[in-house]
Amino acid sequence: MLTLGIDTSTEICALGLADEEGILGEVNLRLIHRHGEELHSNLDYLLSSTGKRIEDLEGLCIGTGPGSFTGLRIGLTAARTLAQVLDLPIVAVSSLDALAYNLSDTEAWLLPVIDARRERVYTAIYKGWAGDIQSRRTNDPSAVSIEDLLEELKGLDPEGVFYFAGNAVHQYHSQLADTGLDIRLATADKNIIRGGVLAALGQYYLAQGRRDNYLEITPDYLKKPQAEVNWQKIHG
Amino acid sequence: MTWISWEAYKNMGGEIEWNKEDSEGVIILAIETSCDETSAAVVYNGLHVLSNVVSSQIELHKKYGGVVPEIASRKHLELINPVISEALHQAGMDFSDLDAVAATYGPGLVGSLLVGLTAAKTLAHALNIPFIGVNHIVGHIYANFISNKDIEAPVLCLTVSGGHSDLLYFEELGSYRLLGSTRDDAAGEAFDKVARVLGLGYPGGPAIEKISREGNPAAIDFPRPFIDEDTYDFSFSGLKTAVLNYLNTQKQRQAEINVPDVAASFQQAVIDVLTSKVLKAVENYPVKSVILSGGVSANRALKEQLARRLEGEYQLPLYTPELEYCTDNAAMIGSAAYYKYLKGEFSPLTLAARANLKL
Repeated sequence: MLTLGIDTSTEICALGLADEEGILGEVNLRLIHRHGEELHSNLDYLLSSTGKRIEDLEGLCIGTGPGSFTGLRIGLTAARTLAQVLDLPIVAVSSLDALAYNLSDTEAWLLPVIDARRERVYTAIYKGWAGDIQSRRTNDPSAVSIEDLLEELKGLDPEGVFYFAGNAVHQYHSQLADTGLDIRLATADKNIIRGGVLAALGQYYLAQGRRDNYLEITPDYLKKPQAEVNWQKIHG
Repeated sequence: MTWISWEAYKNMGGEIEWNKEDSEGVIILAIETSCDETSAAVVYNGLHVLSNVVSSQIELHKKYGGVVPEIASRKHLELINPVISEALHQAGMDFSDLDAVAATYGPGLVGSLLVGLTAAKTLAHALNIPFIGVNHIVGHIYANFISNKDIEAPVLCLTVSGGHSDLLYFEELGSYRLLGSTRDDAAGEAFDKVARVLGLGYPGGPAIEKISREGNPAAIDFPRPFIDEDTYDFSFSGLKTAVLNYLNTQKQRQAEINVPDVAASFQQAVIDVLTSKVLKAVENYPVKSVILSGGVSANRALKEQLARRLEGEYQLPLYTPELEYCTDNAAMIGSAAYYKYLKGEFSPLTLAARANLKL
């Protein structure tokens, strides 16, 4: 089942193609505020260089964040519209799942961390060896400060090995260094969300028969709009 | 090229000569999400609207006293695909009937624009048909050609809304020249801000117009910026400040504030400035028709005063779009796109959203 994976939750515009035999190709570009401009030309490039046409697609997989609100809306609009116009089955996956997938061949605790600004990271904690990446997630994605996250990890398993990956690793490098915990940082190839991973995850879920309703796929914002928060503070 | 369905023909009200054998017709799906309306339309040969679906978020933003960009963007994402489906359904069309897809790429709120723009590019890409990016302001102008199919060139067009105030001259319908525009706030922006300080709520234009009917437009002599200057440009920021200063002074004096009088006097100052620039252009160009467009063209006082002077002093007709096409809508984007389609002016799929796009 030829599946297109898309993730635009971070500064990486990630596109990938996968089928039963694995990943056909992927394009992962670090773009600042240019996902909307580059998405279609790179999708075209990915399709043509793998010898496929857009009408050959059989399924879609979209990363729903958490991450950049505007970035997410670009990827989700494209994915939802492709599902609509090509009448394709679609599955939605957490972008944190896609990031944790990069580290999935270890028994350590997995900590995908995506910059959430205001000194916080989007994260969730993954554990275990067996099963798909989603079933290894132990809690719901949230936005937390790196200090609070480290405190939580100390309480969770003071002797454990914690494997971090994501765009926040570089940013919080120094805070992660002297914690008393056994923290390992991912190498550069594992710090980005990859289109090939989205496509492979999508291929896997679709083959299992999972189908999401494209009209109900929305970003995992994890936060109300600031104006709404402020309004509720005043009006209760 | 496609045939159009019987349902679509009925939607047009049989107003055009329609030949089922005609395979030259151009059918464009247009999308508009520049502010707080999610809209999609199917337009046949530029001027015939087969469907025009507008999902307004106005109720969502009311309590904040203005459009909240993040809330608008979130809502656009939820609504865009159902609105597209509904537009096709009402037009009796399938995706395969379309000849091109168009979308507004500016000016407007970037987060909002990106949703409609990305949806349109994705459709064009998947259907392998041309994509056409349209300037929102140009769309507002073409709204007039939908409403009034007998407009004669050369045309002078005053287009005023919450985002822009421009005066344009069209030697013919396909091309225009910008004579003047606002140097600071747009006219609609001034309406919104003054309405807010007067506690009249959002949107400001209709609120001010309504309460002005009970007020005296000559009660307070607010400034008419640029009215005598030798330019077609406008400026509304100073007028807005004058209203704020007036209100502050009255408060300090503990004098009563007559809200209808303030609103009516402010509105009259805006009308005087806009009218003077239109008349000045009419004096200097061989104009045959005058168009008033944009959100502010819904203002009845402006429309009536401008029409009275143009018809009385220059025997020129003033055209305004029907109310449906005054507010943001995708049909006008489809109309503007049609003229670009005829000239082969297609946009690349790399077209960026531009918040401050000018004419």
